[in-house]
Amino acid sequence: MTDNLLLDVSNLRKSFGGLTAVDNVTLKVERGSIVSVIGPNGAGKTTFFNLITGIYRPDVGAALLDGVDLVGLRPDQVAAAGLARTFQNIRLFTGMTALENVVVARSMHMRSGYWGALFRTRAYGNEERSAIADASQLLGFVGLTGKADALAGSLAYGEQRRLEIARALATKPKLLLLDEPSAGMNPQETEDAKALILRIRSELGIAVVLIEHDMRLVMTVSDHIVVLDYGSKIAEGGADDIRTHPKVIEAYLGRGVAARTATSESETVS
Amino acid sequence: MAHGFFPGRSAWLIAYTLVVTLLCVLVFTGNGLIDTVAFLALLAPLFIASDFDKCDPRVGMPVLAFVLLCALPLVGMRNTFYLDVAIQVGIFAVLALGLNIVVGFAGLLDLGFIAFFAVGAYLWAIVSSPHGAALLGTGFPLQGDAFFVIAIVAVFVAAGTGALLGLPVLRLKGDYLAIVTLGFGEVIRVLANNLDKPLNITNGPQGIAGIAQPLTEVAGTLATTTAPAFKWQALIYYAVVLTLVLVAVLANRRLDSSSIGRSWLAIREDEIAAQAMGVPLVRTKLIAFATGAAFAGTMGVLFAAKQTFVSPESFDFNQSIGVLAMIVLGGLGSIRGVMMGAGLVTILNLQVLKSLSAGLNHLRATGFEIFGWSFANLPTQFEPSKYERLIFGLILIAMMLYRPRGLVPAERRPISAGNAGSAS
Amino acid sequence: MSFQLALELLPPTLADGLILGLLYATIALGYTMVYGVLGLINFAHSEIFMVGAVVAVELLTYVLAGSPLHPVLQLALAMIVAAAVSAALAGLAERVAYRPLRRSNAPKLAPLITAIGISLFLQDAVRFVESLFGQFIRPFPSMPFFDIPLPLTPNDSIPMKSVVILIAAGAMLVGLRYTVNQTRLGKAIRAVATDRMAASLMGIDVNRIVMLTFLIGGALAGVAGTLYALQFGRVDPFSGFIPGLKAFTAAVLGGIGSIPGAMVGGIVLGLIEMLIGTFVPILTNNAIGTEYKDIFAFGILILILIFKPTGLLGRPSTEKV
Repeated sequence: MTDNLLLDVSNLRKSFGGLTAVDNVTLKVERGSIVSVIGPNGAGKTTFFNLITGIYRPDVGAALLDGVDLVGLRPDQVAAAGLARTFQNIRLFTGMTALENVVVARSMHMRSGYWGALFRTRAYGNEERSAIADASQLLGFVGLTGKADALAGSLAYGEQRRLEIARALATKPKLLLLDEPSAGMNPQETEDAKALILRIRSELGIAVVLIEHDMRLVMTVSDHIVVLDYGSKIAEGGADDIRTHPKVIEAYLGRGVAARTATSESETVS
Repeated sequence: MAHGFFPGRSAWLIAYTLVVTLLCVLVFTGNGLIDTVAFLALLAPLFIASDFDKCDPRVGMPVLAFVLLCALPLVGMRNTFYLDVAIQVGIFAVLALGLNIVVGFAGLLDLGFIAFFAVGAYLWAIVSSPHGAALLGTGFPLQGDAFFVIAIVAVFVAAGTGALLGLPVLRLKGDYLAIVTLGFGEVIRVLANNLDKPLNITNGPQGIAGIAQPLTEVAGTLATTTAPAFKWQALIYYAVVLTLVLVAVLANRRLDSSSIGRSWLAIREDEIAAQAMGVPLVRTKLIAFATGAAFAGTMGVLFAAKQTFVSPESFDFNQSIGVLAMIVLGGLGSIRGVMMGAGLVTILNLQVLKSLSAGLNHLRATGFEIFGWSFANLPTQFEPSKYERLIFGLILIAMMLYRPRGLVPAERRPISAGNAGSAS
Repeated sequence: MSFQLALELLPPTLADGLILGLLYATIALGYTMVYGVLGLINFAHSEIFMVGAVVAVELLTYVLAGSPLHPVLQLALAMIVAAAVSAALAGLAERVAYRPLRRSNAPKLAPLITAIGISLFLQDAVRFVESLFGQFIRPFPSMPFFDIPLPLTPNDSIPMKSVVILIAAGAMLVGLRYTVNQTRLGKAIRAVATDRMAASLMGIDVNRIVMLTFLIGGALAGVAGTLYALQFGRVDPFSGFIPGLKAFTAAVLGGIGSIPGAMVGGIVLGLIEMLIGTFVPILTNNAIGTEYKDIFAFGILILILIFKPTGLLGRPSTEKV
């Protein structure tokens, strides 16, 4: 193990009833790298995210972020440990403004909290101001400067995706998990998303793991690609390895594409 | 923040306030329905003047100060019944503001809120009454002036009780919380009724009498023939309640506009997303639960002192629902709305229903007839003053169906990059 | 307490506990069905149950009293009418107060608050009507047939009414289980409970199924009310509140959404309550009286919710993310 290893997930498994949604998956992410998790619908990608972010508890396996064991932590503790995420079906606080959405994610880094708020201490005021300043900056980073005071629910779809990224970044993560950042986007927006992902690494130095269906995006940004099918890892490697990997081709094209599209679009198994 | 200065509006407001004050002091000094209406009219400027979006604070603040510091005490010293009403409204306003934090801000339906009120009330009752002295031994009962210390102690005792109950149940889904708190309210009542054995703590259904009052010497010193001590005592309570209302309003506003307030809103909108963004779910909810409980605990101390008597009856399910009706009527999360709801429901309860009962009893006694049907036939069990549940029930249903955000919908002032930290 | 005394008290206590538990179970069915289908705690259910009890008592007192019918037939008639009235009331509540909130973008707490509103409204509305005619606490009319003692052990007997309740409650549970598991309607109810959106896409009229669920739950509550009045001999506008809370506890204990769960939860709760109510006062020399049995019941509710929120027979549910 090198010092460069940021996320170390080993042998993760989760079953729902009789169905094994994630089966013995291992994943390593190095600092400053971009890793993609791909696979057909229902392959267990989102469940995998849910397992390492504390939303579900894995049956077996370990997940270390910078040496901190994530298994058994609550989602807020996972966030505090430095792992932030976005959601496949955008989950913004729609009744709050864009700025507030981002500031909420900054709360855990505020120390003066409850009593400070009640007595309006100087420390509280300073923290509040710096949280707002940071949040504004993050909105600028994702290109939403003019939208700070707009209600999150009123933003356009692509803007909501970017706001979710800004919100996740506000938790000051070491690693960012993006669940289908380009879903439902047109080619231009996908290009923008790609540029944003690259800037998250280059300007903020944050590693990224993304679940993605857009193969052009995946192939161009990823240092490393992991392919899941039926909950198991069937292949991993660089873009070129994956493109030609027989199992990947089989998973995507080989076994009855029609049959698969007829099953649920949802990634989750409940 | 004001939208401009409207001399016309302000002039009307000032003129109206003065005229109603004069009417209340000089003409409508009785206890009838018309006097109640006049008293309500005197409270109306509070509502109008506190809307700083429509009313210039330079006019609104003096009007608020005048009504709260001059008009109400004046009317109240003339007829202490109204001072009493004002105190009751104040007590319930603070309770409602406390429950507003739990239900309105954090979105947790608490149906046993009055239990924390009971905790505060019994706390003061036990430490300051002869009954408690028999229980606790030397050093008790405490002097009336210990009230102020115990009121602060009650903040922590009630918050602790809230945390103790909240810790196990706050991780549950919202609906379960409702039913567990409902059960808890019932448990507190059963305990109050039955903890007279094996050790007599609550004195059971008879309740605890002879509870000490604060600042009795001050009231005694001020007493004159026209304004006897009991009126001054009521005025002292009025001053205490008024202070607590202001504290409660300030606490509501500050919490709402702070990071904890934003966390509450985030949890209300999407628990999973909020958690994933680092908001600790149970802790954040617990803070709301304990804060609300603390408000209720303090007011319980005040309630016990003012009544000088507590019994389990004062803390039944009706009271919890009454406070809920106040905040639903006014608007969940809306501070002005909640206070208005507290005023309306309290006065409805104290005054309007009682007046109706008295009126009907009068008709029954005189055998008044309408279309050949005599009121003498009206069964004695039929008492409008006892139909609070009907009223509360209708309020809850009608508001949720037709105005789910209440009479005065909450208006959050979102933070923006421009006004960082300016909200108070 | 002597072992001998405990042994003597045990059989009647268990019998009473079983009867009480069956009553809780029958009320719990309504909670559990509505919760299963809508995810809503129908707070008004306890009052729908109470109205059923009041209707049955009034019928038996003023209409059926002195009729030549056999007491069991009289009771059955009263039960049918009570079931119809309670079902209509439950349907009305759904139509007027719950359905509009499902359509609109109401706050999350809205249906719960409305449900409490209906519950309070019904309590006082019944009190109002009853007050107009005098006393609002109504005794169950004297029907000696139901008090005929049947031998239980050499020393103890149980009254006929216990047997009637046993049979009626058992029939309700079996009938409901059959309806939900074996009929077309049951299949539709289960579909709506699993996924409302998907069910409507499959051509199921969701509102109709929800309405039928309320009607069935209401009818069961009406029957339960009749049995409750028979067992405890009186009914008043507030006598729904505590049994309602207990029945909800039973539903959670057994696993909310599960019909056998409601039955198991009800019986377990009834037995525990009776055992505690009988033996704790004796053991503590009356320092802890029978009044505390409610506290024990809520204590159980809280413990279950903390340690096994899915109940004894419930299935774990995972929120979709």
